[in-house]
Amino acid sequence: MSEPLVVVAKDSAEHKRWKYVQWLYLAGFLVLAPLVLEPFEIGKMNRALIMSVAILAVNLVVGFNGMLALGHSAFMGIGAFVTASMVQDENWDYWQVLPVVLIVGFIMGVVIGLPALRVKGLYLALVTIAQAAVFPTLVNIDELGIAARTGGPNGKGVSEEVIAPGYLEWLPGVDGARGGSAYRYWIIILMLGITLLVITNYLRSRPGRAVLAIRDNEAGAAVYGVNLPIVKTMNFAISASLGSLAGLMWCLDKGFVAGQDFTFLLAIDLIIGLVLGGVGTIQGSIVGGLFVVWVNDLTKRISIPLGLYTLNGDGPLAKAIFGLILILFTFFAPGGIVSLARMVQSKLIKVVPLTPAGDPIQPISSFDPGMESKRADSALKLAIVPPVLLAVGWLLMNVDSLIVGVFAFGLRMTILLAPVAMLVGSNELKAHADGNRADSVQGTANMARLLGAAGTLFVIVYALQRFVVNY
Amino acid sequence: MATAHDAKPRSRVLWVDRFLTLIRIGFIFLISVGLLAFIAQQIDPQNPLARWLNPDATGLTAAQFKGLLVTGLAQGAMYGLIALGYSMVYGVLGFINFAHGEVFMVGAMSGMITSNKLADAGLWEDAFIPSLMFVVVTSILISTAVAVIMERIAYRPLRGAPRLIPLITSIGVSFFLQNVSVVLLGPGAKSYPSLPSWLSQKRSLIGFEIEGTKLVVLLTAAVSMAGLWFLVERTKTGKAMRAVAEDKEIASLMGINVNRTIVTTFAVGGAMAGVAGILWGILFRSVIHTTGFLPGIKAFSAAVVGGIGNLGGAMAGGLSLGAAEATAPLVLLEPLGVDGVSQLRDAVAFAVLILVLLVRPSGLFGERLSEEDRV
Repeated sequence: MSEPLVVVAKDSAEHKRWKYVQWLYLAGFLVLAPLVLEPFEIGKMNRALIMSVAILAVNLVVGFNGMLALGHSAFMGIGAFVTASMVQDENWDYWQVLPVVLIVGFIMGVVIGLPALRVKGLYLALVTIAQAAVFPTLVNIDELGIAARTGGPNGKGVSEEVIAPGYLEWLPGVDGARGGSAYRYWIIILMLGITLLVITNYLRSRPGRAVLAIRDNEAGAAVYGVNLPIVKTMNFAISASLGSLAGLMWCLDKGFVAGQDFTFLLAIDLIIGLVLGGVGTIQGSIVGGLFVVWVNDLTKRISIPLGLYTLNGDGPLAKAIFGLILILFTFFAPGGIVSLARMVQSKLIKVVPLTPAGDPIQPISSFDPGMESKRADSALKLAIVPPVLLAVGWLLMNVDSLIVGVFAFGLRMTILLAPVAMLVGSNELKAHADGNRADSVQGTANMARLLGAAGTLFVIVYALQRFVVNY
Repeated sequence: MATAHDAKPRSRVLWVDRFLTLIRIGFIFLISVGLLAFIAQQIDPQNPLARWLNPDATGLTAAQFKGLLVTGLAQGAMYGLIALGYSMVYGVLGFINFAHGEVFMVGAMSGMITSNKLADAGLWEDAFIPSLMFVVVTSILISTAVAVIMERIAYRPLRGAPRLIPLITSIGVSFFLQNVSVVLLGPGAKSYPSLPSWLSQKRSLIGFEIEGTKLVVLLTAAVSMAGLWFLVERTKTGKAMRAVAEDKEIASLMGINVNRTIVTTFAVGGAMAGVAGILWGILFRSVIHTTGFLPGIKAFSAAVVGGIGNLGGAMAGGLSLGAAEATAPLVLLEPLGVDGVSQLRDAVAFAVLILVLLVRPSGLFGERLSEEDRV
C-alpha cells in the first residue's frame, strides 16, 4: 500500500465525513465499554483511565516541558489520601473535595518543584525519585496526626460506595449488575474529558506555549522573555495538581487507599505507559494508560513452560521482558504507539491542504484520467481478510477453544475495517464516474463496496443480537 | 552555549527568589533549633529549652553518638563508592544512569554466590583473607562486565538522542536487571555466610569503638578511592577520561578514542559498584533484588551533594550523607520532639539533598562539568 487509501482535501465535506467516522468509533467504544465488559473488567477500564490522567500529568512535565519527573505516584497518593480522609472522616462529598485536592496538589508541586527547577532541570528527576521513594514510609509515620488521617500501614477505606442517583440511571450500563462500577466509569470519563479539554487549551494558551518553547530551546525561550523558573514551576505544579486529581479518582473508584499502592513501582508504571503511549502527545497518555493496565492484565494469564522454568505472565521474567520492551521502544519507536498508529493512519488516509484558490493540492496521479489505482485492490483486501478470519474462527470454534481468539480478532478487524472498505470502494467508483480511473478499477471497487457493506451489516446485526436482544 | 542565567540581569529579584529565601531560612532555622536543643539537652537533660521541645527526650551518650557516626560513615563510604559511578557517567555523558544501582546489586549478588560457594568448600572460614580477595575480584569482574554490556547495548545506540531518551532507557535497564535477578536467584532475601569472629570484634581506635567490619569497609573504600584518584589524575587513560568529559568532539579531534574512553568510564564505575556490593554484603550480610534501589538513589544524591562530576566530592558527599542520615534523626529530630525517628532515615537523606540544592546547588565541593552538560 504505497499510496494512501483515501486522499481528502482539508476541511472539505469528505474530510468532515472521515472525522465523523473517527468520532463515531470513539463514541461507540465509550458507550459499548460498560455494556460489553464484565463488572471487574469495567473496574480495570476505570483503573486504565485513571492511569491515563496520571500519565497525562507526567506527560505535561516530561513530554511538553522536557524535564524528567518520576514522582507522580506520590502526588497521586496525596490526592487519594486527602480524598479518603475528607470523605470518610469529615463526611464531605467528592465534588467538595475536588477543589481542595487540586489546590493541595498545586501547593505540593510548587514546594517540591521550586527548589529543583530554580537550580537545574535535571535535578528535578532526582528530587522526584526521592519523593516517590519516601512517600510510602511518610504516610505511615505516627506523628502530626498523619497516621490517624492515612490509616497508617492498614490503609484507609471509604465506607460509602458511589452509586448512581435515580435521575442518572439511564446511562448505558448503570442499571443492573454493573451498577456501581459503570456509574464510576461515567464519572471518570466525564472528568477525563474535562481534563483533556483543559489541558489542550492550556497548551495552546500563552503559558502553555512558553512551556513548549522551553522544551524546544531553553536559552531561546529565555531570550524571548519567558521567565524560566516561574513557567517551569507553574507547569510542574499544574501537573502535580492533575496527579492529585488522578489520586482522587483512584479513591473514588477503589474506595480504599493504602501507602503500598503508591510506591515507586507505580511511578515506573507511569513512565512505561508514557513511553509506550507516546511522549509529548495527548493521545499517547490515554493509549499509555490503557496499555499499561490491559497488557498487564493480558500477560498475567500467560503461562508457558520453558523446560525447567515456567514463563508466568505476572512473574519476574515477564516483568524483565517488559523492561526490554521499554528499551526497544525507546530505540525503534521513540514516539510510542501513537507514532506507530499515525504511520498506519498515513497509509490509510491522507489529508492535503487547499490552495489559496480553494483547490485541493492533489498528487497528480490521483487525477490522472484512466489511471490504474491500487486503492480498490487494497480496499478489497480490507473487506475480505477480516471476514475470512471471522468465518474460519467460527467454523473451527468447536474444535479448539483457542480458535475463539481468531474469531474475536476477526470480529474486531471487521468492525474497524469493513466501513473503511465500503467508503473507499464508493470513493473509487465516484472517481471512475468522474473519469479519473481506468475501467478495470470498477469491478474491484464495486466488490470492495459490496463486501464492506456486508461486513458492516453483519457487525451491526451481531451487535444488536448480542447486546440488545440478549441484554 | 551561554546559559540562561548568564543572560539575566542580576539585579532583578523575583518573588521566586524571595520565596526560596524564605524556604532556606526556614530550613536553617529548624536545623539551628534542633542543634540548640541537642546541645541544651547534652548540657543538662532538665534544661527548660530541651524539656519544652521534647519532655521525653532521653538524650544521647557520647558512646552512642560515636557508634552512630561510625555506622553512618561506613554506609556513607559505600554510597560514595556507588556515587563515583553516577558522577563519572554524568560527567562524561550528561545523563543519570538509573541502572547503576542495579550494577551495585549485581555485585552484591555475585559476591553472595561466590562467598557461599567458598563457605561450602570450607575456605571462607579457614582462609578468610584470600577468599575475600577472590570474592571481591569476581564481583568486580561481573559488575564491570554488566556495566560495559549495558553501555554497549542500551546506551551507545542512543548517543545522539535527546537526553530524556537514555534516561528512560536506563529505567528500563534497571527494571530488567532487577527482574532477571529474581528469575535467576528467586525473590527472597539471600544471606552471606557468617564472618569470622576476629573480624566482627569491636576494637578501639583513636577514641572510637569500631567493629572490624566497618573498619574493613572504610579501609577498602579509602584504597579504592586512592586507586581511582591515581587512575584519573595520573594516567593517560584518566587524562582521556577528563578530556572526554570536558568536550567529546575536541577530545576526538585530539586523537582520543571517545567510545573506548566512555566504555572505560562505565567499567571503572561498575568496578567501584562491585566493591561497594561486597561491602554491603559484609556490613548487612543480606541481599535482595531491590537492594540497589534506595542506595542507588542515595548515592546519586551523594554525588549531587558533593558536586557532580567531582570525584573527591562524590566520596565526601557519600560520607557526609551517610553520617547525616545516621545521626540527624537522633541529634536534630528527637530533641525537636519528633517521634518514630528511626523510620525517618531515608527522609533525612533526601532532606539533606534538598538542603544542598537550596543552599549550595553546585554541591559542597563544586561541580566539574563541561559547558554543554551544565543545563
